[in-house]
Amino acid sequence: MSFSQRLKEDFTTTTIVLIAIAIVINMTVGQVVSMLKLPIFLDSIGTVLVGLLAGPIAGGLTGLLTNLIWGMITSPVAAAFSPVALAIGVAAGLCARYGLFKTWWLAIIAGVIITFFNAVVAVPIRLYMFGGITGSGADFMTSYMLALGKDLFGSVVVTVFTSNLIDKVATALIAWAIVKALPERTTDRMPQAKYVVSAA
Amino acid sequence: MTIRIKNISFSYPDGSRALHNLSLTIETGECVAITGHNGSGKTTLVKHLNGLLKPDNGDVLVNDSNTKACKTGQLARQVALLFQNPDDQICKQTVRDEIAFGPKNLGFEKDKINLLVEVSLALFDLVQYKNHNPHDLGYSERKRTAMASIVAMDSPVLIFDEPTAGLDHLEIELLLKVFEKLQRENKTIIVISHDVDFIAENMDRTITLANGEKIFDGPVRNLFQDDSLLARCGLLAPQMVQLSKSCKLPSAALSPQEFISLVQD
Amino acid sequence: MLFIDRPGWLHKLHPFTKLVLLLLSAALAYLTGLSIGSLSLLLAACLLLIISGGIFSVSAKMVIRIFLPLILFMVPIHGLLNPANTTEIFSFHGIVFYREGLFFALKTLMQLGVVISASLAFVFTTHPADLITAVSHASGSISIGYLLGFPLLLLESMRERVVTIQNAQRARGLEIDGNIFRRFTSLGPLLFPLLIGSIVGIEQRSIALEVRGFKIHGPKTSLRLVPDSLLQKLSRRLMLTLAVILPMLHFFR
Repeated sequence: MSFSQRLKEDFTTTTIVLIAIAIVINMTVGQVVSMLKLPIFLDSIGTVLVGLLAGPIAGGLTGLLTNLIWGMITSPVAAAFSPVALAIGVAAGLCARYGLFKTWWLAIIAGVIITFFNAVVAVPIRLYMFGGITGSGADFMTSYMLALGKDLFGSVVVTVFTSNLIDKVATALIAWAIVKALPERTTDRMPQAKYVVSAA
Repeated sequence: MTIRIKNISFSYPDGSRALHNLSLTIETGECVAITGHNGSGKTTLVKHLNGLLKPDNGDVLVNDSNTKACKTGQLARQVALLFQNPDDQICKQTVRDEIAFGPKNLGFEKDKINLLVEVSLALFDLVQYKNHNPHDLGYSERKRTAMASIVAMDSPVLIFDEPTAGLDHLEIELLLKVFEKLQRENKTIIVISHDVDFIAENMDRTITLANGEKIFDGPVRNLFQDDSLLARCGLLAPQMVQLSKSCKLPSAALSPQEFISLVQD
Repeated sequence: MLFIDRPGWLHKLHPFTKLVLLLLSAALAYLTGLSIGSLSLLLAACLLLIISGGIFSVSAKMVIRIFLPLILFMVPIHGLLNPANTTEIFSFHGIVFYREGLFFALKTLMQLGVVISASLAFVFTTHPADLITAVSHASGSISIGYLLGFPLLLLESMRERVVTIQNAQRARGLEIDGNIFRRFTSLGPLLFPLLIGSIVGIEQRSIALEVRGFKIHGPKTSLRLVPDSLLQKLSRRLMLTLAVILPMLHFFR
């Protein structure tokens, strides 16, 4: 099967609606998190969910489109990080395909792997486009590492990894719990959910 | 458990006026309907009773304590409120856990929680589903699960927003039986509803809102016999009332039984 | 939505023309090794674009919002701590600022300035619906238009749903304040109804789309027309070519 044929196969109407809904989920969970004043973002929960339910390509597309739409409606800076969101979705989909979302503790490992993918894409953008600084609280971490004598690259790597680790592990755990809680008639229609729920 | 509302007004942050200079008192053990057209302020009003909203002016006193000084979490012990859509609240993976959610939040002892959950399961005919995932069940079961989760909180005042929406007549009868039981326990029941037939047949007192103001508060019969009042509220008379009028009966019947006895007279 | 409905010449351009312009300015700013002097010229050109497009005041507000925190962090962090720092410029109560770091900060800020002002020239003058129409038209696929448009339509009702769920759970005694552990445990009851409810509802929505002929292949008609012109098509080609060739010239020189 050619790549474009695979795409058509994978992208049923259900998958397309799932992606659209997940984009809105990404954009609204921030509201819940700030309501509870929690130190995490969870803004890629929809992306990770699509990765688990519909595979890496759909997951990546969800992340990419979320940040592009954010860029259109809030601030163009979000669009600059759309490749990062894409990487998160792809990573989540791959982790699910290789059975890393079967139990809660595997989901924690998947969260760490997603953090790694996130860093691989986010570090170059932060470093080369923004000179390592994005004007947020995470910059304190970067300056601390610089003050310790690390080079700019090392400081940005440490900052990106630590500021995302808790968030991505929490995201992976919640996504795992959601997929487990979905009724069978819904997961049956999702092309990739079997990799997650079959262990149950 | 008396609820006193004194001259409250409320506007949403976008400036739209939702309630205006509204006062009423609901005594222990009453069974009250709140009705009115869409956007008349019904849901806004009941959100004031458990502190989800605080009035801009005026006071809401639940059991003599002002809601301005209380958190919703504490007020839930006094006033339980069920929202329209069960899917806005279902967050647990079994019907049983979902019903236990409220009592657990209120910090009841384990034995008491178990007892309340079992009683509510039985009341709403959900015993056979207690270990099912609510999302695997149909709308009616989910709605009943949501209602059971509110009843299990054992609060002296229970508010139901559109409880009959999406239920068939057997399920409505079940709900009425639950209401009867709650009334025997001297609990206050407040029902928000558009369903004029349901109100006419089952409620004593009705409070009617239009554009955020109270325009009627009294026996159901007085409201439904007054055409000009109904028009002001944007409501249609119940079927039995309309039927009694077209049959030129001496008074309006509120239920089929009443209609039959009037015709026989 | 950032779009400003105040017709100017930028508003009349095809969305793709503005996107390619954005691409070209990003390529120039980052990939052609421009000096500070040339960067200022490029920045001035962007400024001219924004002023002539009639979006200066909104853009200025946005630029301040984005750049104020960036400058506040960028200048001291690089000025004081950049590993390449060797040449002192001035010291203030024993805090020493260095030339290399400040220079690096200035250059980065200018590069960002180019990209962000070109982005603003796009987002303030392009209605999302026009972009969606243009993308659907060019890709011949209605799905991509749906993916871009549907989230915008649904956003408001989903935000309201977040508030309703919060109300419903608080009415059942859920505390949303308290210590951090408690607040973390409140996350489930607030997120699960939102996420599970929306995912379960997908089946219904996809059926609704399919019965309305969503997956039928072939040309679709659109109510919205996005005007394009030969001049714009040609200038897009030219700008794309420049965006590829100029960086390559720089790298192989």
